[in-house]
Amino acid sequence: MNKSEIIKLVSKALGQKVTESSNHKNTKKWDSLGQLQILASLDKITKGRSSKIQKLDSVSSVKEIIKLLKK
Amino acid sequence: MGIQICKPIVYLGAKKVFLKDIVLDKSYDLKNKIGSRIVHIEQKKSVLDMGIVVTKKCIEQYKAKPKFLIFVSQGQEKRLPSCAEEMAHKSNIDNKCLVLTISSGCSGFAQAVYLANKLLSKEMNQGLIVCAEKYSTYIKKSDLKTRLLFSDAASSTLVKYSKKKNLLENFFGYDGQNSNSLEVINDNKKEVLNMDGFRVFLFSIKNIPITIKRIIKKAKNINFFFIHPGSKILLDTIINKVKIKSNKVPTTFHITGNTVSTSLPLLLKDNFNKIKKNDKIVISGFGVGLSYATLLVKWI
Repeated sequence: MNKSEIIKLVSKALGQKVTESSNHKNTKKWDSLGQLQILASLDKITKGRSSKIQKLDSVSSVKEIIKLLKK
Repeated sequence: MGIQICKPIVYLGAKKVFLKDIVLDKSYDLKNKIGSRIVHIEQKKSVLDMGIVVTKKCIEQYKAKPKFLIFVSQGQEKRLPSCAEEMAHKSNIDNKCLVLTISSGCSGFAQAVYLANKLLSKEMNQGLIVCAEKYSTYIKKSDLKTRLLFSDAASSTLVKYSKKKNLLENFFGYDGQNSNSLEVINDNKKEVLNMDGFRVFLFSIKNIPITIKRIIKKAKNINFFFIHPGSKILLDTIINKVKIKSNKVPTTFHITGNTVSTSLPLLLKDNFNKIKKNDKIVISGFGVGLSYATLLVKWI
């Protein structure tokens, strides 16, 4: 997944527009429920592969997601 | 060697507050995020008073003669001394009794069970674990998300010595880097509770499923998982990650919100008659610290 696809996915999961600099502190809807929605969306689009990525559960920013999915 | 846990005595804050009356944003998903409809707030009794109520009742009900008292609390009225000794005195407990305080929150009951198991012997054959917390003292009126979560409560649990070893597994851990995720800070000369719920959530979903999976690997046929019901979304996430049947994970959302260190005694009390001799139960507490404690106990 490229950067813009990830940003689009997170925006859709949260129901709120995000940018590369978005994180749980500056994004109102990125709370515990939002986190689960992001993880579920990633899991769906990667057909379960994302759930095997260590540390993805505890990401709290778009940058961290991009970094982990690049690896 | 082993520990018998008696049915806890629980006190809930006298005032019931309906969450729908607190929430201004009606789109806030109370049912799936918080779980409970009400929280209990105690306006008259102090932490000490609540502790005395449950301790006296426990001693009376079981005709108990405790040889030790472990008090679990972080929100006492005085910085020092701990109110444990005053509580023991006012509850007419023998003054030769070992009285100590654990400064802990939602992990506190599980930590205290572990400690009590170490203390129990033929001579020191029974003790009390008293938990009391009153977060409402520290929660700002404007901090709606935190007000929705916590209830004031106290509990007293009699534990007895048993010849057979029955605390089969224990896992502990902490994250000191994120201690400030749940803390009391000074705000304009007033102590207020400051919580980054997101960080507490991440800590819990990272650590608790791992420890429970480890226990499941070692012990098959676990009958009940008593997991601290911090919030519904948190508990559901743990259940999904561990892949356990939700009917094995009792909750107390139908009674009240997160009662901090009393949450596990409340769960045990509410489900006490369902637990049978030789059942294997998991007791897992986590939260402030950040810390967690997970135990596997064979029921006596």
